[in-house]
Amino acid sequence: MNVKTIALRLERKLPFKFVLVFFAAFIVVWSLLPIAWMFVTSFKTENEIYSWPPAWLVKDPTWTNYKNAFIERPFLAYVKNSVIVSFFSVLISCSLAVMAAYGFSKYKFRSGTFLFFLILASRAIPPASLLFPFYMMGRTLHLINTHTILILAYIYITLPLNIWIIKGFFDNFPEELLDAAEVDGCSRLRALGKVVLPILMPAIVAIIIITFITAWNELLYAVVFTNTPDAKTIPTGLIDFFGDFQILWGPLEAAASLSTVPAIIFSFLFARQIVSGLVAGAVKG
Amino acid sequence: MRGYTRARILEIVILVAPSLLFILGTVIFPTFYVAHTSLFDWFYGKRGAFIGLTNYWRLLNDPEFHQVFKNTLVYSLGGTFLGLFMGLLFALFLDGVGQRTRNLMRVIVLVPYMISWVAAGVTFKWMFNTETGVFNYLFLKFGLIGRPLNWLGEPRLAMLSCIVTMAWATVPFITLILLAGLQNIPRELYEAAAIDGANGFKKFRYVTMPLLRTPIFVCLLIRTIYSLRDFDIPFTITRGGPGLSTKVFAILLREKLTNLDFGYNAALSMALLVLVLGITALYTSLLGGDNT
Repeated sequence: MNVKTIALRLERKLPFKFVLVFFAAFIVVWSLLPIAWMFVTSFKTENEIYSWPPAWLVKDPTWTNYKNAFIERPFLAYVKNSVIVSFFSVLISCSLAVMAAYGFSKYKFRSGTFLFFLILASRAIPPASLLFPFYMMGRTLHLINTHTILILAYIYITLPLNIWIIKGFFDNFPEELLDAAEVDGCSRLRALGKVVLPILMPAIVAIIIITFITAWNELLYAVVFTNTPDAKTIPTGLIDFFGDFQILWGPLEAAASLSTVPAIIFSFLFARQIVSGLVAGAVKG
Repeated sequence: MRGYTRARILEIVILVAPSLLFILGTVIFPTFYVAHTSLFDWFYGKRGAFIGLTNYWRLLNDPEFHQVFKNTLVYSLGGTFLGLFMGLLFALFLDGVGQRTRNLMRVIVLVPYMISWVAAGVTFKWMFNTETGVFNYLFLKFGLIGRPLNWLGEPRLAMLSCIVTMAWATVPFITLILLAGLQNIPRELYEAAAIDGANGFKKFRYVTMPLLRTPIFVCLLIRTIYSLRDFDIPFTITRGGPGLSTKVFAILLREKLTNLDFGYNAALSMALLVLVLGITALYTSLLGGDNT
């Protein structure tokens, strides 16, 4: 049944409105309930956490779980590492992507198509398949358990997609504006900073956020290549809870809740930009 | 194509070379290095003699590999298709509601996409808990199950739990991509179909579906590739257990690397790579063949 027809009929028929509201509520519950449950649990006392039937709301909210996550475990160090790694991954990956995409989009050169395809194709190679070469590189260059090895990994994981997304936006950028800039004595390269980037800011915001979130959330490389609070990131800190004799659900849910804060903030502030970036990245390629 | 001056060629090099060298160094060259590694005998981290395809032979005769291969396919296809079903439903709904509701719901749908799969795994593991989990509570209350189920302790249920979590994490992406596709369908097509006497279902079948074909294939392709390589969700929820029941490629890859069994790891890496490229080729040919 087509929903559009339902929507049209809805103005006349009340039961349809009911169905519509019910379905909307279902989407909200499906999307947010698991996250809400994480936050609710994180503010509960131990008794409430393990109560049966489950307590849907918190009776007396407590910060104990958050304190425990930071006092009994080095979560402050994990947060710091995640911030450093994500920041440099974003800085380098997005800068490289903007430059390369500009080159591929606004300069036509013979090997351009092939080289662009090469970069795109690298997106299909699973990062899990490249653990061994990364390990050998890390061992040779003494990069195991450092921020650097994670930053290198996250750049290569995000770079091809970023180039692809940004190139799409550059391709739609009117050539006349660049020609006009050139007439005014501004080279194509200078025009990138002066003319193109200011106009394409929303697209840049999109790749910055997508890259940040990818680096912030990544687990496999972090688990394999870091093992002390000097370099471990938040996801590895979360995983550690499962190594305990008994899982401490309160502090674990507190730490997990904290890890989702950037994602939630970005979603609410930049939904439009992120979605346009996602769509641009998924268009057949 | 214009004749380029030396300065302009230099600009191209400045722009493109850094990314290109980086990708060559971290992806393209390492891929060949893995292929090379897989042909040698490795003993506790030390390279031995050239042994041809022996590592692959080991793989093919290893019952653990058979199980992991099956798990990965079940997990990936299960998560992708369940996600596609829900995502399509959500997208159709969001396409039908008013502009303001749509913008708000888009934000709500986006949130699960942005949080980490580890955080998603953590909270689902908590909800699947046998003694205090909300799933058991709700299912018992609505009479869907007679006794609390041991979701993560029983092989089939553990796989189902991982698939459900993966589907949950997949739905936002699929919803948003399909919604963008639906929004691109010109409204006039629906009006024309209505004039021709098409009812709701016929409009869906003959207008919506053909035009949504490409976005659906794109979603299937991207989500299959990403779930085949996934490590986070099974590792967080079950660590691959109980037994081998939810162990997927990425978990086995990590295990073989940390056990310094580099030959096995490399052969397995190539197997995953071939699987992903094979599925990519399959989807692309299916899409290309019908895309007229």
